[in-house]
Amino acid sequence: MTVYTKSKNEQRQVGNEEFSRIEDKKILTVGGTYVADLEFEETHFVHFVRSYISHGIIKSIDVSSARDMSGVVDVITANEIALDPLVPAKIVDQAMVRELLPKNKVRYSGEPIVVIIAKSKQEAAKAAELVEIDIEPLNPLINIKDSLASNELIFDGAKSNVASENLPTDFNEDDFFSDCEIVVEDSYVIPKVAPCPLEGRAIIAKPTLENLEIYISTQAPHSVKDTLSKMLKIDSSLIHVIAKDVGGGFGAKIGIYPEEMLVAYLAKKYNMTLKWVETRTESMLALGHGRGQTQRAKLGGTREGKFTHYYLEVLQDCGAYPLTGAFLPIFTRFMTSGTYDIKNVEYKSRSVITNTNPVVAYRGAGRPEATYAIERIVDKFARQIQVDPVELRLLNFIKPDQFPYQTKFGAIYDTGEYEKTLRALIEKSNLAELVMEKSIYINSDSRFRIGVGISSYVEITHGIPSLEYGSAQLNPDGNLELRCGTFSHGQGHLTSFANIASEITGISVHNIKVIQGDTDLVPFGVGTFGSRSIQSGGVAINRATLNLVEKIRQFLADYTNSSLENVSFSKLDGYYSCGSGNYTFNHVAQLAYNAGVDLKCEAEYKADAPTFPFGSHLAQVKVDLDTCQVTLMKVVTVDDAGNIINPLLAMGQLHGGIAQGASEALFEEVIYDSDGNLMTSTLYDYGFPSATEFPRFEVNLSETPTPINELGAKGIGESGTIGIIPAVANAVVDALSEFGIVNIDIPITPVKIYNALYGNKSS
Amino acid sequence: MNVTVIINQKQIVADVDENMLLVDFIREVAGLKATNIGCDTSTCGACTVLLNGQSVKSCTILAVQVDKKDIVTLEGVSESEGLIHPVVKAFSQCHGLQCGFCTSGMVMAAISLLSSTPNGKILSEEEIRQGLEGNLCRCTGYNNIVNAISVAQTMLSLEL
Repeated sequence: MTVYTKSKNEQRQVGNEEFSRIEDKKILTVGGTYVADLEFEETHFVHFVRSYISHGIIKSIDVSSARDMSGVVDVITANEIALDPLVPAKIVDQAMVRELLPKNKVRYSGEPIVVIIAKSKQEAAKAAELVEIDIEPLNPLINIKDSLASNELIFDGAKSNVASENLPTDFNEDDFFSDCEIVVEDSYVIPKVAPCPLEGRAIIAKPTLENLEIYISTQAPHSVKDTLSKMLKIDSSLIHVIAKDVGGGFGAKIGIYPEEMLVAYLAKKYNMTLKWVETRTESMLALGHGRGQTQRAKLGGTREGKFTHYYLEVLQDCGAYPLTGAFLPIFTRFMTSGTYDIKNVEYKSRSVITNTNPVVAYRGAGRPEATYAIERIVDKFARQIQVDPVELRLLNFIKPDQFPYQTKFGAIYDTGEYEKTLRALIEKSNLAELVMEKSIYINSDSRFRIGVGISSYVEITHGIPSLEYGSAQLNPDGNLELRCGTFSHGQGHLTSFANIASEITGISVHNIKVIQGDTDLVPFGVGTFGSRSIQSGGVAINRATLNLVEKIRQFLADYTNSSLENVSFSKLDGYYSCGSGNYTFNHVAQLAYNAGVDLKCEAEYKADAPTFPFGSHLAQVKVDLDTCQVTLMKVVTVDDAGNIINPLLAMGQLHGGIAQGASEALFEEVIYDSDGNLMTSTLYDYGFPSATEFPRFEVNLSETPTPINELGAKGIGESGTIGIIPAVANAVVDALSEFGIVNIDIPITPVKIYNALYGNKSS
Repeated sequence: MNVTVIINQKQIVADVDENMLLVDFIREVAGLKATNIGCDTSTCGACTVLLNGQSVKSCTILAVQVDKKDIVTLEGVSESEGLIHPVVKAFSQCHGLQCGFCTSGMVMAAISLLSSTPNGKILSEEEIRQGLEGNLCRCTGYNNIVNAISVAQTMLSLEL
């Protein structure tokens, strides 16, 4: 294992004097090109009128006054939409269909009901004020508990409000734990959070003579094209999707939303260019939310601390329509037992419909939830038997010689060095000193307490391996052009994919152009999510580039009438040698152009299996017993995602992931009132963190290559989030353990600490 | 209402609605798109520009209020040929940007923070974080943004 120091990171940093990423020059001089920035002639603007009721029957909609407003082209309700409703996935109760605009029933506050098309944004918004929608409220079922308890069905014809479930067979909880000397149990709430990409959803749909052009803020342009083709019932060759710069996605922009489908549909129907850029409030209301699990975890083992039995029960909030929320518990199930060798593991989950915004994927999607449960309950077990939580983890880790390791639920962990990363963390964080520091405060008169929390994680990346596209082409100007089906939206693939090709060819990354996000230029692709890109698209690029180097050898052999063995390529020299002649890429490019030979190689790659990054995180917190404020003082991590292509970018992914996770532990929560009105509808109300909330993150990279692909690379996009949430929560509980506090649910706000400390006393 | 605004040293005269926000003026009238809109509550800072040298969220001010005043946007920072501003350089070198949506506002806030710091004073990490409180970023965890400003500060003090 290598733990990178900063100096190695700097050595591997690519780039010229000014810009370290290919992406940076444009963003830092003229700004990125986001959908809102694009302007086309004769564009009309779309505005959605949304439900102000979370659960109710639509009695009437009067759009007549709105339609008469100046600048208004049309005001559209469900009756004018000739599109099939969205049918849920097979694992979901098939009665839970979604009409793109509801005809009879609204199911969450913020659900779009009416579409307005007008000549300007302002005119559309003004007209919206005149739309009269009469909704008869039904009982709002805002949380999982109420929805499960209610006889009222959110979808008529469904069996219940449960969308999907995983039930254990032949499982009796008491029998299961009957042989355990020690059993600890706890319940955890992982609230819903708002993904909050700085750029919200945005789309322009532009009908042309040949096709329908779609400019969209997405993580997966080709899937937008395929979905629209099916929805609009037009051949996919007649849809051209273009995604330029995208201001963050975090999982929430994987799929295409009803609003976006409607814009595309109406652009075609009215044959006019339509633009919709959501406001932040709309984004908080109706861009999918993440997480939303209530868990019960129970861990059994011996007095010495060996875990033998683990049971996790999950209730997943799906929101009003069963999208990814119906699937998240499957990912949680996959990762139930985490880094530990536990012989007996059981799991149960139900995904439940509520009258809230639908739940989608959010950084980690199901895996942070699994890690959270096991890493919290392991700490509780350690307290119960009074063993150091680090020692308890070391005792129970899956050992390096057990890999590949198959879990109870079918995950096959490829590689893992769990003890090494934890030991590296102990060293890097000076854990002994941190423990000494906190001990000074215990039982003292100080108004502060210090806590240290650890978590060890393993997660699944590229969870559902899918075919990905990559190509490499030597252009006549001697530049290398790569095309890929993944879609970087902040991750920096224009640089890291160029790194991969540069490593093979020796061509400077600044002479390598990466093309992505245009369905006419890239024949197919899956997109960027689930930490899949390097290990799918990156491998395809690697293969295509290797093939190109060989293709050029063959071309030179033919050109010079020599045998292939006589043509060699030296990356260091940057040229091919053939007999006495040397040929640079520039030279080859010209020769090939003159000879009419196309120097292009395409590769399609599908991994045989997912990969399982791992690592250990530490958080140190200070709790003010007077103000009940938590300060995150220190974050140290050791993360292993196999071989790292570009350490600077990998660390950037970790930083961002850690910030989102730490923020989830301390600040962020989507809150609805009992009627289902969203109380966190702005960035002002929602716990979006600023720079003052975090310390410097001390991130260390470790590299244990995976055998799953030739790059030896796993995914790095979500690890930061997955590891840090339980570390922070464990740290706060550690700080307050002298007061008998064993659990505080995230986000650990001052109010919750106050209630835990003083709740039952008159203060 | 007629306004004359100097944006990036270029005078723009336009007849605008009295309620037009400066950010809309910058984006729609001046056609400069680096300045982004990330919220509707003046929270995110993606629209931060310099007004007479000081950072301001351009969604908190009306176009008519900046009549005859001097505005600098990201495009103006980099306009001088071949010369890249130390803050811009440091943001890239330290990887202080990912998706780029907050970046223009961040860079403007950083320039304002550094230019309002008295000569010779070196801002601590804590002070840099405080100085960025009005600008939100979802990608970087602020780590490398703070690094970038620290590095830019050193560059500026050495006049690199």
